[in-house]
Amino acid sequence: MSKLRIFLVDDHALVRDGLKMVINATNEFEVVGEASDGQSALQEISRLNPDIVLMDAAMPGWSGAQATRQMRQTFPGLKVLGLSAHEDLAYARQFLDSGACGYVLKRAAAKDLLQALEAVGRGDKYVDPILAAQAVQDGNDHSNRDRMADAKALSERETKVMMLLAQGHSNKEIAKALGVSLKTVETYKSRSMSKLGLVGRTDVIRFALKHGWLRDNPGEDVI
Amino acid sequence: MPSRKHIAFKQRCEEAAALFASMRHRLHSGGLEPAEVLQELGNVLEELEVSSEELRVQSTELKSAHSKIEAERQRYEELFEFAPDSYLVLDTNGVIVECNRAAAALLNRDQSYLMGKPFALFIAASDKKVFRSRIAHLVHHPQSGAQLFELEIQPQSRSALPAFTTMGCILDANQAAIGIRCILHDMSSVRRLEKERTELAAMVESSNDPIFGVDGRGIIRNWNKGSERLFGYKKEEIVGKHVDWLLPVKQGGSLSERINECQDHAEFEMVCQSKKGTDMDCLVTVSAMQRSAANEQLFAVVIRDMTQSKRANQLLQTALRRAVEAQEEERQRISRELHDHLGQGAAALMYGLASLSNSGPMSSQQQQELSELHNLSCKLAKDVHTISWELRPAALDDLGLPAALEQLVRTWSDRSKIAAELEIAGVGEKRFSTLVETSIFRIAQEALTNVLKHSGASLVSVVLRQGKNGLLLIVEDDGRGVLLKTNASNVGSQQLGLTSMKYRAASAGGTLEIESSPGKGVAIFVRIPFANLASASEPQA
Repeated sequence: MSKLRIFLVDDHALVRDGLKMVINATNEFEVVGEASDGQSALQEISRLNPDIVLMDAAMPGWSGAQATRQMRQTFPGLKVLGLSAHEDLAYARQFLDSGACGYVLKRAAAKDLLQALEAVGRGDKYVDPILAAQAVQDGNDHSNRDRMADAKALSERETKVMMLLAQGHSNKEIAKALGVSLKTVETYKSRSMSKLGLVGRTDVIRFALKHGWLRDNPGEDVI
Repeated sequence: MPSRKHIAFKQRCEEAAALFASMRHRLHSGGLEPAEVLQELGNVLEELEVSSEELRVQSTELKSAHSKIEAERQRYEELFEFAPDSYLVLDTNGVIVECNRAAAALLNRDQSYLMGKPFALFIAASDKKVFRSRIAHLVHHPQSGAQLFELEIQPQSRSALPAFTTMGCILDANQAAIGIRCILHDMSSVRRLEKERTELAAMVESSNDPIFGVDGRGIIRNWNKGSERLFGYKKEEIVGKHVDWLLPVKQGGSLSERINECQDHAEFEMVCQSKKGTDMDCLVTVSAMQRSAANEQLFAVVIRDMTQSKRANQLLQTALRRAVEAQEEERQRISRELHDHLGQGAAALMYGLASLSNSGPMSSQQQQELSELHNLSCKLAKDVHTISWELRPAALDDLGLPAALEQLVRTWSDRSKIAAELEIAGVGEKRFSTLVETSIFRIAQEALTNVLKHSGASLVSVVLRQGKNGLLLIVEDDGRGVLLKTNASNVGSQQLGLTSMKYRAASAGGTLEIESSPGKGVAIFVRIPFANLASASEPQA
C-alpha cells in the first residue's frame, strides 16, 4: 500500500522537523515536501502533487486560512488539514470556512495528529476533540432558546419593558421612557423574565430576535 | 380760663346783687311796694336758676371732655413710648427730658438713667459740634422748621452707628422755644446693605470672569472688565446691543433664547465669538435675578472660556490614549513573540520527543522518562499559549472582536465556574478600529473580573450589538449588586474599577454607564457612536 503524500507548511523549521519525524516514522504517511509560507507552498504543490497539506494557522504573509483558500481555488481536490496552537473554535471555523477538511491542535498528542491525517486521507472531516467539546457546549447553550414560553404571557407593559431591554436600554432609561419608577421597571423585568423562563439579558435578546422584535429595526436605539 | 357761660352767670349774680341793693334802698325810701319787690326777686331767682342749670350741664360736658383728652394723651404717650424709631424730648440746652424705649435701646441705657442727661453724651466726638450748633440754631430761630441731618451716635459700650436725625422746636403760646423734639433713625443696616451692594458691584465690575447682565428681550444691560477682556468689546460699544451679537454669524441657535428659558439657574456650552472673530468654546452660566422694582426680568450671565482647558484636556486624553495604545502594542508584541517562538519551539519539542519514542527499542524507564518529557513540553506549550492569550488574545487581532469575546466568555466561564452567555447581534464581518476593539474587549474583561471578585453571581450575560447608531456592549450579572451614588468617586464605583473602564470607553470615543442596586446585580453599558467605530480598511494580515 502506497503511503499518503504529505506536504508541510509552517514558518518554523523546528516544528516542520518535528512533524517530519513523527510522520515519516509511520507506515501510512510520508512527508514529500515543505514550505515556510503560503506562496512558495503553492508553487511546490503544483510540482509535487501531494495528497494532504498540513497547514499552520499563523504565518507571515498569507495566514493559514488564506493560503488554504488560494490552494483550494487552484487545486479543488486538494485536502488541507489546519494545524494551530490556538485552542479556539473561531480559528477552526475560519480554517474550515476557507475549505480545510480538518483542524488539529499543535499540542495534541502525536497519535491524534496521525488520526487526523488518517481521517482527512479517508475523505472525512476532523476537528480536534477539545474544540469539538466546545462546539457541543455551544449547541447546548443555544438549545436553551427552545424552553422559552410564548410572548402572549406578557402584559402590554411587560412586553414594552422586554422590548426596551432587548434593545439594550438600562433600567433607568426604560423608567424614563415609560414614565415609571426604577423599582417598577425592576419588578416588570423580573416578573416578565420569570413568566417567559428567561435568565439574563442574552436570553431576552434571543427571545426578542425569535419574535421579530428586533428584526424591523435592527439595533434601533442602541445608543 | 372761665367759660363764656361762667362769665354770664357771674354777671347775672352781680346784676342780682345790684338789684337787691337798689331795691333795699327804694324800700327804705318807700319808693317801692313789697309786692313789686317780691315780683322782681322772683324774676331774678328764676333767671339765676336757669343759669345755674346751664352751668351744671356744662360742667358734665367738661368732665367727659376731660376724660377723652386723658385717653388721647395716654394713646399718644404709648405711641411715643413704643414707636419703632427713637424719640427724645430735649430741653433748650440739649438735656434729655423724655425718651422712648427705642431711644433707650439705641443708646443702650435705661430710660430712667437717660432722663436729665445731656444728649451730647451719646454723640460721637466728631459730631458733638454739629449737634450743638443745630440746637442753637433751632432755639434762636424757632420758626425755621425741622432740621434733618445725620449724627454719629455713640451708644453706651457699643460701637458707634449712623442715625438719621430729625429735630424740631416745641413752642409755647408765644412761639418761643421751650424744648426740642428729636427723632433718630438707625441707618446702620441700610448703610451695611449699601456697602455690600457697592462692594459686590465693584467685585463684579473688576472680576476677571466675564460677567454681564441681559434683560428679558436679550439686550445686554451691563458689562464688566472680564467681559471686555474676553470679548474685546468696550462697555460703551456693547451695552444696549442684543446678546446674540456675541455668537459667530453662521452658528444656529440663539443665546438669548437659551437665557430666556432659564427659570432659576442654567448652564450650557456654546461657541461665542470675540470682536476679533475668534471662536471660543464657552461654558455659559445663567442666573435669573429677582425682578427689579420696574418688574423687569434680568439675567446674570457668567462666561467661562473653555477653549484652553478643552485643548489641555484633549492633549491629556491623547497622551493617555497613546500610553494605553503603547501598552497594548507592547503586549501584542510580547504575546506574538511568546506564541511564535516559545510556543512553536515547545511544539517542535513535542514532535521531536514523539518521534524519538518510535525510533527504536528502549527500556521501560526510558519510555517513562520520554513520556514525562513529552507531557512537560505539552504543558509548556499550553502555558505559553495561556500567557500569550492573557497578554493579548491573538484572536482579537486575527479574527476580530466577536471571536475574541467568544473566547473570553468561554475561558472566563470555564475558569470561574459561573455560567456566562454571549449574544452577538448585528455585528458583521467588518472590523472596527483597533482602538474600539481593544477598548471593548478590555472593558468586557475587566467587567468579568469584577463579577468574579464581587458579585456572587450565578449567571452573566454579555451582549454585543451593532445598530445604526453605533456599538453597544452590555455585561450584566445577577449577583448581589451594589448601592451606587451619582458621584462616580464613591466606594461602589471604586470597587468596580469603573474609572479605568470609563477611561477606556472615553478613549474610544464612547461612554460607559453602570446600573446597579442591591440584590439586582450590576449592568455595565458601553456605547460607542457609529462615527467613532472607524472600521479598519486594511486587509487582514
